[in-house]
This record gives sequence, C-alpha cells and structure tokens, in this order.
Amino acid sequence: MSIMVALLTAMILSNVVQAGGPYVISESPLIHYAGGSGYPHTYSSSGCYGSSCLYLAQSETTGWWHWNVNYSNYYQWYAWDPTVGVAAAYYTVWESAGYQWQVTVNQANHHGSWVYIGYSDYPTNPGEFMYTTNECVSGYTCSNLKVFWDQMELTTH
Amino acid sequence: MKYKSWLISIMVGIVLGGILYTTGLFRDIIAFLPVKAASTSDEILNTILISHTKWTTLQGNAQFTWYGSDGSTQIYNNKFAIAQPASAYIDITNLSQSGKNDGIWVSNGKAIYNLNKEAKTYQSQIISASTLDLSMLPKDLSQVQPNIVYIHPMALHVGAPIMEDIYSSWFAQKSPTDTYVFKGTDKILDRDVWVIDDQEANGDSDTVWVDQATGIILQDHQIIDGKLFLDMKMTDLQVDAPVNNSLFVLPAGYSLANPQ
Repeated sequence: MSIMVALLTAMILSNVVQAGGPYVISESPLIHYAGGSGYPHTYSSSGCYGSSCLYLAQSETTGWWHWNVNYSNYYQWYAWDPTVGVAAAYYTVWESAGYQWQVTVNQANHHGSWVYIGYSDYPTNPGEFMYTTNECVSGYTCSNLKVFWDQMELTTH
Repeated sequence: MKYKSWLISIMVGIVLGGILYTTGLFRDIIAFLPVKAASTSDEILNTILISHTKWTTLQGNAQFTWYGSDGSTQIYNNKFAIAQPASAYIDITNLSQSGKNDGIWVSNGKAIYNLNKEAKTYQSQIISASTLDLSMLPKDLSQVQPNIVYIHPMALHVGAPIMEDIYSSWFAQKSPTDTYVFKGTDKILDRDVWVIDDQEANGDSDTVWVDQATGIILQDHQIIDGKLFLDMKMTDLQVDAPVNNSLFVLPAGYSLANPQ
C-alpha cells in the first residue's frame, strides 16, 4: 500500500510539475526594431487566433519587429500558425546573455497549430525578445505574400 | 494504513516524482510503453513521426515550383547533403530568375550558416544543446498533442524548404480538424512510396508521396485556396551513401552580415 501511494504521488507530481505558464501573448502591439517602420496591417479572419492577425507583405520594405512581453526566466516558445498563412516566416529569439537563435516556420504547412520554436539555454534570465520580419526566406516563394504574425505562447522556468 | 505510513509514502513519492521530472525519466518511461497501432494508417504515420531514425545520410536534388495567385511561377532547385545528427549542406538555386532569393545553408554540427549568394554575406547561429534536443519530438501517435507541432530541430533551424520534406515528422502532427486520406502506393525514383492526402477543414490540401523505407517526403502537391500552390519532387536521392565532409564547411568568399 505504501509503495502504491508513493508511486501514485510520484506520477502525479511528474505530470503536474510544469514550467510556469503557458502565457499567451497577443501579436498586438508589435514593437518596431529596425528596417521599414510602416506598422503591420491588421487582418481579420476566423483563421487567425482570436480572429485577428498582423501581417506585412513580402513586397513591403523589410522590417524587424518584436513582441511586447515582460516576463523573466523565459523558457519555451510557441508561435500560432494561422490557417491563412502561406509564406515562410523567420523568428529570432535574442537572449539577454547575447545568445540568439533563428527558426523558419513554413506557414503553409502548420495551419491551426502552435509551432514549437525551442527553449532557452539560459532558463534563468531577466528577459528575452522574440523578433520577426517580412524578409523572404531563400528557396520559398518570394513575391507579394503576406507574412502573418499571430499570438505567441511562452513558458517560464 | 497509519497516518505516519501515509506521510512517509507521500514524501517518498514527492522525492521520486522530483527525480523523474528533473531527469526526464518519466517521459522516457512513458515513451517505452508499448503502443499498438490502431490501423495501417497509424503505422504509416508512426513511421513518418520517427523518420529521422531510419537513415544516416541523404544526398540528392529536389525541384520546388511555387505557383503565385497571379499565374506566375518560381522554380528552385535544392541540392542537399545531410549527415545525422547535425551536418547539412543545402544549395538553393532560383531557376526562374537567376540570383533572386538564392541561398546556401551549411551546418557543421557546431554552427549553422545561412549564406546570401548575391550579397556574399552570411548569418550564423551556434548549435547549442537545445538546438539539437529531440526529446520534445513525439515518438508515436499517442504522444502527439492536439494543435501543437514539434518540428525536427534541424528543419526548424536550417530553413531550406527541403528540410521539412527530409525531416517529415511534422506531417504526422496535423491539426485535429484535418483528415488524412490514404490513397495507395506508388513508385518514385524506383522506391516504394505511400500516397497520403492531408485535407484541412478549410478546403486546403497537401498530398505527399512518402518513402516507405525512410519516411521522408519524395513528392508534395499542395492546394491552397482552391489553387495549386506547390509542386515538389525529388529528382535524385542517395540514402546512406558516404558524404563528402568538405561540404559541411563555411565556403570561402563570404563575410559576416551586419546583425539585425
């Protein structure tokens, strides 16, 4: 009986103990970082999380933007892929330690899903930034496609 | 059971649970529990989920044709050489408009370089422990979470289009509102393939031809908004052949781009 109780407690604890969050972060407002400064356009569609996304077309001046978040000890990142997206999108995570990583999300392939973007190598940190851009990704179609940005999700350590 | 025994049992459980969680053993234990595939289609999707475990090296070429809504087309060739776990070389050439949106991706296992052929510049990122961590990837369909997709880290970080066809595990993690239709078998490049159609609730669809031996996608036909969006076909493929390691080196003549 004692062993059963111990095992049961261990299983429950293993399942329940999670990183903090997840916290859902709205795509609006995005903060301008560099490049083209025309604010991304609002796109209303049931295919967007909460029925609204932001976008810049690939043909517009390339700009870099970041999400407006204010946590510490960032850990895991997820990006929502709206069902209206077809472009490939770059995401860059800058950690306060100076380390950064980039990922490419092909928005045509992951409609209606949270795409896991990775986790921090420095889970004890004062903050991180998640950047995005409407820059074309080499090898993907590059014309006048809309690069959509929707809600992000993160956990903290 | 006495109060003291309950207390001790729970304390032991807390300690054990902490060990299982912090070491990741709980997930591994669950992963090794036998899961019986419910159908042939589940067996196929399970093969796709772990396709990266079924080959060591891949080399070849693939042609991507992207169809614009204005009737235009953009055709790219992806020449690739991949050696597990983290060496990669992909040379992307625009066959429609020379030089436009071309690129090279190189991973030497320690860093990933994204080269702009036109500007002769590159960006780089270090491959850290998290970059290559496969522990989040579902090992079978029972671990696939609704509305969450875990793309193989190499396909996430090396952003060439061919990478999602080579590291195809995402295809078995489609939204629960999608429907998989198994259309039969075929042969591509003299290899046996399954033909699978992913149909989204909004009418978009993605038909893939999946190599039965490795689980990688050899051909892709994607319809979006009722129109042909993408045709991809591998034009040659070598599996588990020796690879020239000199490919996995940053080419000469490129300089570091100004960081954004």
